[in-house]
Amino acid sequence: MKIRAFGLAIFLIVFLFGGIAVSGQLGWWKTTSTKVPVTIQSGDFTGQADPMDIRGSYKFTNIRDNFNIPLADLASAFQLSESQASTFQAKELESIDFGNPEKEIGTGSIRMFVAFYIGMSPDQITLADLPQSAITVLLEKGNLSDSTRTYLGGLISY
Amino acid sequence: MIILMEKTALASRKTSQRIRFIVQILFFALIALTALNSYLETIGISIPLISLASLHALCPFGGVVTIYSLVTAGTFVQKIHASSVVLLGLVGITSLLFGPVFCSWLCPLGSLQEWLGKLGSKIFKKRYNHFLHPKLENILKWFRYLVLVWVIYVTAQSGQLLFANIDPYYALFNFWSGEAAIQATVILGLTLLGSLFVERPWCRFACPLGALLSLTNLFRIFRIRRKTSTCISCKKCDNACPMKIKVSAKSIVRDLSCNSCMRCTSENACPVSDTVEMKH
Repeated sequence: MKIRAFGLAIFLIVFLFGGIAVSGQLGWWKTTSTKVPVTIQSGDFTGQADPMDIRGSYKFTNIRDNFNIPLADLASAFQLSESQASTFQAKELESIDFGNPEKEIGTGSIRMFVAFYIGMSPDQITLADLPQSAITVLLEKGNLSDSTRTYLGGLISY
Repeated sequence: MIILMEKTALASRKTSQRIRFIVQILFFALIALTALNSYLETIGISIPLISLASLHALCPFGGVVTIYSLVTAGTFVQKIHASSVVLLGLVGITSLLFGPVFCSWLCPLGSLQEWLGKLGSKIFKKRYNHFLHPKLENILKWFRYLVLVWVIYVTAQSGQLLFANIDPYYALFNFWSGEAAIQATVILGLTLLGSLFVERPWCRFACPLGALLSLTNLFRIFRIRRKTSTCISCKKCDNACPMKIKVSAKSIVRDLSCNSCMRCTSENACPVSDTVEMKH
């Protein structure tokens, strides 16, 4: 059987667009994430949504829903108004000036904030930088472990 | 009568090249409009009937880099979605059938390099695609397999799409948005500049997806075959091959460099009908 250019072109277009249409019908064609992090599979936090799986595309409302953290706490931790926070995406943190150019505040920061807030310890997560406002909120409202409280105490700048 | 037949054959050749060009334009425009639409959405505008998917969601290579994460943790690497795995499956099937047709017919970055190469061949004439020493080319062509292994390894280790930082394909459709890393933009610039001198430099020497798809040349169903009984050994197929494969020395092309562009076939370069063809 011989393949000519015209036949190959038709096949490619029909097969690719047809394949996408069929996968869409089967529910496989997803071009956005579900905004639900994977769950932790072992240890003290088994079954809990994993803060380390928070993506830059997550809105603060997705984080509120997945981790039961009040939007007001998220907003004040990252110096936003509640109305700003309702549509804010984690990756947008990189564009905010937190007044300390040596700190890299981004998606890693929100992961760490959430992890500490729900009680995880520094040795259970990937550490990142936090703005001072986030440390304040954590110390006031977070469900902190002793090791986290000690760790955050060392980060407070006076 | 003979002149008429020759004119008809020439027209047929031009038509078959135009068909591939039209398909390349179609996919280039589709991806460019989708990338633009994805950006416009962030400022509250959108183009009707065009997808809002991110560029990562429409690249089959995302399916490759996320395989490890999908199998071991049941999740996708950051920025990669299920659509990438679907596309990898579809592109994989086309490659099993026809070889890396994705590279030569569909990939927008490959198409752009090829179009720039046409400009380069007009500028440099016969020197085009002959600037590199053949020995150097023979070494460089293995580099893309190292890139493939490296990308899979670092993505599996980090769970992040680190390749995006050097990916010229991502830079090509995001240079206006500020999301493309500087390294990726520099690599894109070097790739496009290099395309004026060498045919598809990124595809041949560095593309990890091209490396993976090229392996299907070893067992694809429809192969480039040369009928030795009718071949007149004019070597026009060799001269037409952008990957410098010596088609005239083979009865079946199994070279990993072949990207199924069909330029060597009797529809294009080969002057004898039914002699160099893609067939089962």
